[in-house]
Amino acid sequence: MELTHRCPLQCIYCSNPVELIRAENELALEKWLSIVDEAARLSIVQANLTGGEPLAYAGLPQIIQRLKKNDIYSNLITSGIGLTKDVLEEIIECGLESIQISLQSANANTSELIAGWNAQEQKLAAVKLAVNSKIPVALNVVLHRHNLHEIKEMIELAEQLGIKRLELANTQFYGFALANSASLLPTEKQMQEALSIYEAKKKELTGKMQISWVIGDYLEASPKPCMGGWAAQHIVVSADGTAYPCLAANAIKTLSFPSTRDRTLQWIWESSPAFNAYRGFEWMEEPCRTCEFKERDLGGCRCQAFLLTGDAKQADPVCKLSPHHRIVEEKIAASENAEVMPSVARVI
Amino acid sequence: MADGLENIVKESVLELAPGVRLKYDEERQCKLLLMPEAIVKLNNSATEVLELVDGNRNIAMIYSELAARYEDETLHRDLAEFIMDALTRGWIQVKQ
Repeated sequence: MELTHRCPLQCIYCSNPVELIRAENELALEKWLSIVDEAARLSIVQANLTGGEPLAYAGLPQIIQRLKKNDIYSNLITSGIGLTKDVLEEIIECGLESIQISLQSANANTSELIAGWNAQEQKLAAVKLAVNSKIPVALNVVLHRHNLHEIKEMIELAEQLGIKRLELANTQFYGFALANSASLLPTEKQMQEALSIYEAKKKELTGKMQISWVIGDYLEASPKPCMGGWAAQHIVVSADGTAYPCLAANAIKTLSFPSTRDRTLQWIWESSPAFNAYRGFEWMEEPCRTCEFKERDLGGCRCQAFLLTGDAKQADPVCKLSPHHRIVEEKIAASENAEVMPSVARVI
Repeated sequence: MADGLENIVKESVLELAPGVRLKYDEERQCKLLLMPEAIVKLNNSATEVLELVDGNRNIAMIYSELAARYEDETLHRDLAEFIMDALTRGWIQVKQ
C-alpha cells in the first residue's frame, strides 16, 4: 500500500516513479479501508505500508486499525521523519506489528548528500524511540557507490542502536535510481570489499542480529527471479489507486494498469490483462523460452527488460545470455568515469 | 539472545521472536508464520514444533511432547536442526 508519494526526503535512488502522484490525486481514507476489507476476503495476510513517507498520510492510524481488525499483519516502511513519541504510541496502539526505518548512511554528511537535507539526527532519534517501544524494528540502508565503503560503520551503528534486523539493499535501478544510475553504480571492487565485510560481520553476529543483503543485480551474472514471478505473490496499490504487480511496474508503458477506483481487487488479480500479461512461461521469447534456467530466474525482471529494451517480454538485460546485455555493460562502463552527483532530483 | 547461539542448552526456554506469529490460513489450509516483510508457509512438522514454542516450554519439554506423539529415530536430530535453523533465521529466540 503506497499511501502517498509525498516525502520530506529527496533520495537520489528513490524507487518511486519519476512522475510522482500529487496529493490531490491520492485515494481517500474510506477507499483504503474498503480495499483492506476486500484484501482480507481474498486471503491477503500481510500489508506493507509505504510511500513516499506513509506517516505523511493523515489516515494512517485508521488504516492500521482496519488491518488489525482483519488480522492482516502490518509493517510500516518509513524514513523516520515525523515518527515522534506520540505518533509511535498511536500507531502501535492501533495494532502496527513491525516497523522498518531507513538510514541513508552511517554519518550525517553522506546522509545529507543523498537525501537532500540533514535528517540524520531526526532519524536516529526515531530509531531509538522505536527500539525502546518493543515493536520489532528493522533498519534499511540502500547501498550505492557513495556509501558502500561505510558498510562496517553501518553494521556497528545498528549494533549500538540495539537493532535486531538490518537490511543492506543494493540499489535497484528503477525510477529515480535509473535516471541517476551513472552516479550510483558501485565499482566491482567496491562491491566485493563490502560483500566480504558483510559476510564476516554476519557470521560474527549470528543469533544477535539478522543481516540481509539484497544483491545489486547489474553486477550479477544471472538475473533475479523478480517478485517471485509476475503477479505471483504481491499486489501493490499506489497512492492514486492504480494496482500493480510490483512497485516499479508503472514503468511499463505498454500495459494499461487497472485502478481500484473502478475495479475490485479480485478482478484485478484474476482477470485484468495487465496482471495476466507475464504469468507463467508462455509469454517468454528467446533466449528465455528454451533456457534451462527459466524456472530458476523466471526471465528476470519485466520492468527492467522494458526500461532497458523497450519490450517487457525480452530477457532481463542483466542476464549474460540476453542479446541486450551490452546495455548493462555500457551503463557500468559509463559509471566508471562519472564523478558528478545525480542530476535528477526527487521533489514533490 | 545476547550471547549468540553458543549457549543453547536443553533447558533453554524458547519463544517466537518479537513480531513473529502463527496464523491459520483457510484458503491455503495450513499454518503460516507471519513476520516483518515475510510469510512462511509451514509444513505439518514445522507447525507442530512452533506451536510448542510458547515461552513456557524448554527444548527438553518440546522434545518429550513430540517423542510421545511419534516413534521416530531421527526426531532428536531433526528437532535440533530445526531449532538451530529457526534461531538463525530469527523466527524464534531464547526467552531471557
